Amino acid sequence: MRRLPIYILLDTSGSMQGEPIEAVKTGLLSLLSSLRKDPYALETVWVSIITFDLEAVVRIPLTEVSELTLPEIPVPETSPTNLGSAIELLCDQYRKEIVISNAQHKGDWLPLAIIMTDGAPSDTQHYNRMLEQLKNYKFARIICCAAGPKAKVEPLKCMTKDVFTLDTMDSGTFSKFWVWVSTAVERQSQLVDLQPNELPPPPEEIKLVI
Amino acid sequence: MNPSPQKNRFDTTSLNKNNINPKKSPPYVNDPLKEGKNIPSCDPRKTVRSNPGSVDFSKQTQNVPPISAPPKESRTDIAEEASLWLNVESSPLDNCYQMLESLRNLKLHNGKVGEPYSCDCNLFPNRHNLNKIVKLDILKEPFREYGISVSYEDGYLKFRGDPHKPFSGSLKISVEAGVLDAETTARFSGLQGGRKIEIYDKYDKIEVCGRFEGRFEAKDLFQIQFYIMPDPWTLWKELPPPQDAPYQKEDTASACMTFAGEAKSVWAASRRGRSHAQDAKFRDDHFAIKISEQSENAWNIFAVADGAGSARYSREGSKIACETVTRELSELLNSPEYSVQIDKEVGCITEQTAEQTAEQTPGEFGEMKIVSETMTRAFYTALYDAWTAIHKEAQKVNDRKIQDFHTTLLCAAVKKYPEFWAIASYWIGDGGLAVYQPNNNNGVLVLGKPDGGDYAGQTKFFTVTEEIKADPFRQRFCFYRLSDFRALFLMTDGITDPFFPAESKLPDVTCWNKFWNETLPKEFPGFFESTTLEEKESALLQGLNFKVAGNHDDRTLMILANPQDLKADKAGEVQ
Repeated sequence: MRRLPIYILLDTSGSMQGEPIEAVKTGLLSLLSSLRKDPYALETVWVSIITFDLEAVVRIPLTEVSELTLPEIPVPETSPTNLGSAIELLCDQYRKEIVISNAQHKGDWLPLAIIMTDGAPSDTQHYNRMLEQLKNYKFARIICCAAGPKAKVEPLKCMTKDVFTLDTMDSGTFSKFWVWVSTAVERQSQLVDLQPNELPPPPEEIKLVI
Repeated sequence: MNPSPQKNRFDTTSLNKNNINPKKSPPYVNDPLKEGKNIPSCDPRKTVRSNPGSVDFSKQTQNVPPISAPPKESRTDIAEEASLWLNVESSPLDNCYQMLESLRNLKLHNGKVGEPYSCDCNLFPNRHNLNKIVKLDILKEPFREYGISVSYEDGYLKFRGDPHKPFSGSLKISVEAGVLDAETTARFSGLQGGRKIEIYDKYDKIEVCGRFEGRFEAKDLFQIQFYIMPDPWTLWKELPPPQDAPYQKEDTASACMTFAGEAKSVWAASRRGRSHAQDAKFRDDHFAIKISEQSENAWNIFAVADGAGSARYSREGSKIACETVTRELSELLNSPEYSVQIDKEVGCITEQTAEQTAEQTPGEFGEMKIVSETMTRAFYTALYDAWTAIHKEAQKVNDRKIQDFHTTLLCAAVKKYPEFWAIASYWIGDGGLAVYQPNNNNGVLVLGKPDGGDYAGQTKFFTVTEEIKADPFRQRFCFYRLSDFRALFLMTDGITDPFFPAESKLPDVTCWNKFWNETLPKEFPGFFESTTLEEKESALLQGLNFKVAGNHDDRTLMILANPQDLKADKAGEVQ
């Protein structure tokens, strides 16, 4: 059956410790809960969660929504934001997990990637190299969320047009972001043509960087 | 939420903590149990820990002597880390802690409404001396409400059941972990020697069999995340499309007709898919049939089309495509100029001598390819007219463009000649156009190739300018001659996706035999069995409600066959 794969990359660097990461976890729970009520999503959406700080780690490999339970997401006290490693791992997972159509087997829909970070990539050289590699992997959409005052959008804009900023890092704003993401995912799971779909309009707290 | 699994919730202040290195010291050196010392007992129901972090022995029943602080020599290694437990030769107390730790880390996998649920949780990963401990009470009630029963067997907590309603959240498990002595057991159940305790039945708790000895430990409360997924089929809504939108289209359509002097009949049915119903959108599929009224030896035209999902007026695109092509082809092919010339070109083959060209040697199933410029021209003209008509419609209103009308198209022209059938076809996009059992051989003649891409969702559209050029057109055009056939199918991807899930399946006769002998009778009951044309038409339309996970597209299915050939074959038989 054709799956809609969603890769969620979460920044777990030191600055996310405390309220921000708790807010993200709550947001993820609400994303899952929302997906579980949607018949398309329940059948077709598969989710993978990758965290990155010093290292990028696959917390959950691509798993269907009905089997998913959220894992523990540890946040080390101080650590850099190695977004480059995260992109590298994303490409690896894509190669391993995404099924391409062939004569024997209909493949997955183009995946979505959602990247949330509150800073700038610490490993800039590696990051830039990985951006090149990323071009070989087709995504329906890569959505970046730059959360908080220290987030830098320019490096993210090199990766995708869909870069959004969140003004604050409180739970209210985060939860709005994840609700919006779940709408976007549900919509994607319905309209799985090749034509790029319009993202649903974001709430006020989320601003598209032009 | 449970605190970090590393920290032991039992407060160690009121119980003596001896720093015995478990690896070095022999076990049970000071174990009061082994040495038969008098251990105070208590009523396990009453001794409740009122706050985590201390053991409250103050609440007692009258019958039970109050518990006093444990003797200092007691071996109460309250491990800070789970790994220490592995090295300790188990005493009843360690089993108790182990069990509580397992419960703290309990992970129940998700259940689904309507599917049997089964989950086994190993409470004693180390499996030492299970018969030494185990008094475990779990409140069954939260689970029972959702159709799950909880039981204990041989070190495993077993959750079984048939959940009947969805659940999302956490369930509380109240645990009384206990190590009682034989005396207590006897006192409360009236039994001797530590057999089953039945006193807990009235509190609706399960109990665990075993030999009970020792001191009672406290109660704990855990929250376990638990999810029961709803049955996805129950989440689908059926919403009518907006009444004020342009290009209105019915959610369903069906038709049946006999042609070629009753040599064959055609049944067609089209139904809006669940995904469109969920979003109050129109059906984008379409079909059209043009049976010649002139004579039984005339060309009959059949078409199905599937409008692109993301194109907002593709329902009109598919409609214009089907109606224009069937109308035009019927006019052209049945006009004297065309029909006489085509008859000649079709009949040409029988006048051939032994030196036939490569094109005219029979194919795998004895089918003959026909080369007919006239037929090719007729198809091209009709298609071009349809293409123009859609482009015209797109230009009528300012904010509409051709991309809004993109559609696939599968069409066939069929004529019965005295000795054979002629079938000409054009196919662009996904779906399927195929002849089942051509010349009554056990095979399938696919009249083209579906257009898919590297990723699900890619296909080609008739309305794209590139496709209406001569070369691309010729590559999709076929013209064959067959002595007979069991059935000709025209289908959109709403049918091919679930039943022919990959490109390689469409020419696969095993897949087709399964479709004919199993799928058609199962998903379209009554189609084979019923006796009138209309009953079969109705069965076809009804069957388009079939449930196949992940397949919620509009469905259109058209079948040309003689009613007498509509039956399932017995295993191994080919009609």
